[in-house]
Amino acid sequence: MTDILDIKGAWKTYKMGAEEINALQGVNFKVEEGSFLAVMGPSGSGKSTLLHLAGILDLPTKGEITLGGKKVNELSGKEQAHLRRSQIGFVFQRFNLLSQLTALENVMLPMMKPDKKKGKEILDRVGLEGKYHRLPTQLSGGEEQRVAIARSLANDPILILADEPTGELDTKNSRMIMDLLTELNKEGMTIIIVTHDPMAAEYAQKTVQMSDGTIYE
Amino acid sequence: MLGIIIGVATLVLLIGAGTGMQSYMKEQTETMMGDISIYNSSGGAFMGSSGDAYLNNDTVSKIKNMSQLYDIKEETQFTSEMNRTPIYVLGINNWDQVKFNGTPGVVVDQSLVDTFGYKIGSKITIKDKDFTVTGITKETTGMGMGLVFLDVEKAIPLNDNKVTSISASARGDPETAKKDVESQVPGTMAMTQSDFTKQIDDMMNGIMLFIGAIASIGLLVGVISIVNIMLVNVTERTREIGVLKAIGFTNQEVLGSILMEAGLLGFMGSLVGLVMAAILLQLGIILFGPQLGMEDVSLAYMLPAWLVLVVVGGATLLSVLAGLYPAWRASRLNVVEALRYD
Repeated sequence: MTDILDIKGAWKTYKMGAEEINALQGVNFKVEEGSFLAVMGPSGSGKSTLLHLAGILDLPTKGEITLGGKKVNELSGKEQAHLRRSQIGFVFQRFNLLSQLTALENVMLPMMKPDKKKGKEILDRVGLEGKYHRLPTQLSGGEEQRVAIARSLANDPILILADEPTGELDTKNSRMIMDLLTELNKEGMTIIIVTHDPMAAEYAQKTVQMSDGTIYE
Repeated sequence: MLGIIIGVATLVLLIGAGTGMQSYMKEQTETMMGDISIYNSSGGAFMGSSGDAYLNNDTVSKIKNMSQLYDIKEETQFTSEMNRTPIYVLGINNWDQVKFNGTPGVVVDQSLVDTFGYKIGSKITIKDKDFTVTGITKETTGMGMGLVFLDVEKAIPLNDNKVTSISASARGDPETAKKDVESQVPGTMAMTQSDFTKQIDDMMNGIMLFIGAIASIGLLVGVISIVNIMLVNVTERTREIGVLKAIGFTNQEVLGSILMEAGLLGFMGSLVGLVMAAILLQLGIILFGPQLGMEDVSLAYMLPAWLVLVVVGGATLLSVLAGLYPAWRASRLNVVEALRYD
């Protein structure tokens, strides 16, 4: 199996006034193609920061990141944005759909060439047949998160990153979302979730624990 | 957007009214006067003011003998009074073509009708001569004087045979005819149609520049309001912008979309402002046109294509410029912080 993501010796340091806070302290993190990983840990353990680095939303203060064979540190801002758009799908805790756009428009938003047919197919795939033209306010939380997952699939990414995907959902909807992610993983998609929720973590093939900016496997 | 609407509406209203008047006055000048008009060189009574300078009989006959000129018409205008009410008397050429019930007589304005209770057929006396009222006009002097029109042939004797001005057509270039008149007939001053239109332009351009500058302040306030709206927009949508960046939008794409929105705001605002100004101008024509003797002026005079294009294009461009700073701020947002924003 090839590594889709390889983070080597990553440090992330924030300045809070005079104080320096190390959110990550020399983290090494490899993700194989087709795996389903859960990252767990208490608040402030650095798990979200790790996910941000994995998704090129942020760069490490020190260390190297290779995504899909490309060294992220060496790319320009534009190339990073392009890599993010073409290779990564993001799912957020609070869904983050654009409220003035319909479900279908939200799914088509990241597409390089808007493709309605494909957008509808993806929505069908996540179980939202016939709800293409609903606005986010006309959907339940579970449905909103499914639209968000559909949006993350829009550009056929190599990696899906989910930050607390069940954080705002009840148990029933949480299970539906995790079932959906599991199905996608079985179809070959590589998935990393960051979560507090042990139930959600159970779905992953492997769980890594973080605390104080370090990974314990 | 309200700022842009009001700014554009004010600008278009003022410039439109100015432009309308300018082109209307020019057209009137062109249809009403001959190729050249000749006055006493002291300035005389041109452009409607009645002075003491007249063309004397000698001068008039000299002008009439000039071979360069044809279709020569004498004109006269003077002030007088009727029962202590001041009146302004205007001798009109082509009286037969001016159909006031077809019969020679005089036409009086509404103010005289109100003062003396005149109606069609009433007898009136000007300088001890009796006339019959054959028509009533909506035009006014605008100076608190009564206005009386009559055939120039009858008006000249009333004014002690004094001619205020002569209008004539020229054989060949009016400019040459003008120079010939001024050099060959001492004490005269001639003006061609283009002299008149230039004078109107000079006068109106000065006024328009001034009102344009004032109205532009309104537009500027509108543009500043766009900066403000867009800054608020960008702040309110911080998380949304974070999402766009997270799903792979480049900084330039974010910048472009905000600029586009600002431009669209300005474009829509200016269109609404334009429509408002057009409605107000049309109302103005209906309400004040008759008093100014401009009832036949149309909206097309006031809103020429160039004005519409310049105002809409200008407001849109200014709005895009106003969006630059907010857009730049949005494009520079840190994705991670933007995603955390509530």
